[in-house]
Amino acid sequence: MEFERIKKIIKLTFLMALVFFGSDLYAALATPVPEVPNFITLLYKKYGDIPWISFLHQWESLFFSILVASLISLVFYFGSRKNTLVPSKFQNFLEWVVESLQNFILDVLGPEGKKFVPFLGTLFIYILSMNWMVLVPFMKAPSSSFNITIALAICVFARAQYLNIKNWGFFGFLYHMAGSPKGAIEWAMVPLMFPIEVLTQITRPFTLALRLFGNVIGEDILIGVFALFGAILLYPVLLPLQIPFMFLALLTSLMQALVFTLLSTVYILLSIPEPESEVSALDSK
Amino acid sequence: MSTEDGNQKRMLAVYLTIPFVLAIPPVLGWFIGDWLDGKLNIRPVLTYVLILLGFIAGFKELFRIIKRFGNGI
Repeated sequence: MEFERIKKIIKLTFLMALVFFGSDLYAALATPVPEVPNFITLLYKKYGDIPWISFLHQWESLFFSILVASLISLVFYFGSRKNTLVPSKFQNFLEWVVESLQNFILDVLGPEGKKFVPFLGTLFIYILSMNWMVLVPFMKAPSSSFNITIALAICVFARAQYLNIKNWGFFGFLYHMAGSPKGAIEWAMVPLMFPIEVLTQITRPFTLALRLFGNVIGEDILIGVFALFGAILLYPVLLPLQIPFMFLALLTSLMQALVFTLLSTVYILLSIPEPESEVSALDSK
Repeated sequence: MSTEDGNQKRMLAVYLTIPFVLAIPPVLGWFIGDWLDGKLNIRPVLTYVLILLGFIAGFKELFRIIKRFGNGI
């Protein structure tokens, strides 16, 4: 009886895997671009003259990012709709996700970081879901578009600058940007220090966005190239050569989402004036 | 305050960003300088100045990262 069930599960898994690989291979065959095409690209290839399809094609990254956002909203809405003290499996899972994220962020920011948990946690879940979209057949990872990543980075930048101005005051922040000059020599250095500091601040969102964008598009192209390679190697036979790289993509996507969140956390941390005790503890080491 | 584990996570994140911290400011300085040169009609001057400032900014940020997060290893 038990053996029968296991056999059934294996059969089902195999069938699902076949459908999954097959659709990806079909997608790879349908286009010469070394990126696994999504359903909008395929629609555009077939019905490019229909206005709303070409409109979708033009805005496909935005479309997929909105799709991901709606999916996340729906999942969390249905997960938290019936709040019970003893949670159901689904609610339990979501609570586990949120709690681990909260612990993670509080580890880095300390207890006063609690008010940043919603912002940073959302960033993490959103970026992770966007990165993982490349693994879904006929979907595209919206984070492989620089526009999307720079938009996320600008959100972090705006939040950090808002905190800077809130904590130090506008002129206090300018003074801080000029390197907190005290003596005459330090004041003389201000014209040099100020542009350097401004450049450093502007660089931060760019580093955030470029790293995420570069890594995600790299892994997309890798998967695309190997899917294409597997499709043309022994033409009538389709080899799923991209599978190992999909597992790699699972890992790197998680890593990139984590790094983006961690760095945003660090930038926010740098905008919170530190208690003297920790500064001196850091300096003494 | 934050735990030892949190410190390590912080270090991981900021060390992963070091290559970008060093590479991006000069490039950004070059772009901004080129744009400003075009506006002010003094072609190569501000480009070079801002590339240099970019290098300094990168190293300054690196120094700051190491000073602030380089403890514990």
